[in-house]
Amino acid sequence: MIFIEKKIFLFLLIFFLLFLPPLGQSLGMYYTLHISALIGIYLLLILGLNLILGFVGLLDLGFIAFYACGAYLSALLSIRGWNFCLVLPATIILTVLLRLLLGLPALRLRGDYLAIVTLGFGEIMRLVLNNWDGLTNGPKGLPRVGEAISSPKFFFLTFQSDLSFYYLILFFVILGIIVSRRLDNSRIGRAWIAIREDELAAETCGINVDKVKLFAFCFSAIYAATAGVLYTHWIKFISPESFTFWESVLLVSMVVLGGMGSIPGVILATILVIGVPEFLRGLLGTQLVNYRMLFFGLGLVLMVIFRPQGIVPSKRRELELHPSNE
Amino acid sequence: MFLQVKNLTKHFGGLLALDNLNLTVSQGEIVGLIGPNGAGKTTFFNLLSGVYQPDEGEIIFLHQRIDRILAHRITALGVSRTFQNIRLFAQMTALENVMVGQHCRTRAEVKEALLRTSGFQKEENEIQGKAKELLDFVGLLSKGNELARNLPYGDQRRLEIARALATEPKLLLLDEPTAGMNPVEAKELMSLIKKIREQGVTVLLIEHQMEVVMNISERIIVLNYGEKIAEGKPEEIQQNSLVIDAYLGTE
Ligand SMILES: Nc1ncnc2c1ncn2[C@@H]1O[C@H](COP(=O)(O)OP(=O)(O)O)[C@@H](O)[C@H]1O
Ligand SMILES: [Mg+2]
Repeated sequence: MIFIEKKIFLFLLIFFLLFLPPLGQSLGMYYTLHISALIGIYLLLILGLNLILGFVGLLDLGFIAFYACGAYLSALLSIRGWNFCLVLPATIILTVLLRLLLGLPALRLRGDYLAIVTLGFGEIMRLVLNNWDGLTNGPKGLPRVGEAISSPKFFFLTFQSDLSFYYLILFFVILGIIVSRRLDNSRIGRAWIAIREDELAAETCGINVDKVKLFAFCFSAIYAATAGVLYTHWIKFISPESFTFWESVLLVSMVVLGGMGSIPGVILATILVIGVPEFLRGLLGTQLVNYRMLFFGLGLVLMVIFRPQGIVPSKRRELELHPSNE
Repeated sequence: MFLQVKNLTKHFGGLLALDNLNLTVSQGEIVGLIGPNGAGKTTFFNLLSGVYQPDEGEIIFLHQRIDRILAHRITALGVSRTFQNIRLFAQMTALENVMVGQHCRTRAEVKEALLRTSGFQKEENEIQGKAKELLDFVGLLSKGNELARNLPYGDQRRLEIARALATEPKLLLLDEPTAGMNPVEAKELMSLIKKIREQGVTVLLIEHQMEVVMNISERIIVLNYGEKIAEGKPEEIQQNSLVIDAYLGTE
């Protein structure tokens, strides 16, 4: 019964996701598609951060650095004429390698120290992007005058309009959700959550905690890199100011707000925090929207006091309890 | 020899927590480990399970040195434990706690989890089936879907034992499993420990309730200030004047 209801719900949801934004657009709400696509990019970031922060419990304050890495690498490759189908995997691989280089030393540190190191790494990344003129064109961003980032092409399909980009991003978001969910309910996901709950007990349960942590840390970078690649190819312009420490903090807050480790929770939080103010911009005028961070901050404080487990607290899957059901 | 400990020594700063400990355990025994608070019992378990490394000495388990090996490798070799201050995965269900315990006996990696291969489904079913069996074994099956942190104290202790058994140990280390239990629960636990041994698991048991430890141990080892002061059958230990002094005397 519940199973069927779930199917119907999912069907309706996908129906809305496919048709509502274009409908809004055609009804004269001009930013609907743009905002929906932007939410999609943030969803990828949040799903990735949720793996490492929500599941494994590692406070990563520099996640945005890997989003930046994905964005810049893909811009550099795309400018050199690489096809999107090559740019995406190449960028993911290089970003994950960078993540590995950070993770190897940093994951030896516990709790607050890890937070500080990742924070520092995020700042280093921003400074490098800002100052390595020869490669990144500094604060002026990429591409330079006379260069261009090409639109993604898959054989005969070209992604150019906001609409086609919305669908491309939606595809990756749905893929990201499926991956997160499948990991959650598997031996690997259980090991991640066990580490979050009690590292020592996890180790004595036979889990190679260091290795599993490093893997999760690297795996989450796939999400960040993908988000970066999509952002670059969609907006076709990037500069260091999109990748500030503040963005990392925003991401962490959204995971906390949604509910650590809760996939529906973090999705809802992203839509609330990124989407709602943008949609209300037209209604309320720019003035009020400028106060959104104030509301966000207030909301966060209230949440942590009154509902620390988040909007949609993560719920563990229930199983049939008949002994031996082979 | 099943387990052999030679000259095992551990300092914490200036404190000598374990002083030149020698002992052996044979396969299939239930051995009680007793001693006043701070005697070094838990420290001994921490060394055995790889949580700490000893300063000196050797631990040989099934002809293999395990004193310099990481904790998860020791678990894989067949040593498993519970903790004096219960350490469950609080936000996971009871069933999931036991499923995590099977980590080192199962193989599914990310690829299988993402593709949901038939091998993955089969292993996942086996993990669930075994977890339910173990919960049933410790009498917690009906509470399988409850979060570990919502279970009463006695249930949490038994859940921790089920999780430890899920690693398929040859040697099980129980650190004060009856602490906080009422006499009825403690009695039930004794029969549970006996059942565990009947399945071929060797048990080392730290226990404060003398009634329990005298009843189920075949052999008792007494620690005091990090040193072994006595060893023998329960009847012998009860008569031993050093032991009586350690418990009643100087403190
Ligand atoms: N991690 C540690 N750091 C410092 N001292 C410790 C640590 N673990 C145990 N000790 C000390 O070692 C001694 C033995 O402790 P423990 O093995 O827990 O005793 P028992 O379990 O027999 O009560 C105690 O004095 C305790 O304070
Ligand atoms: Mg102790």
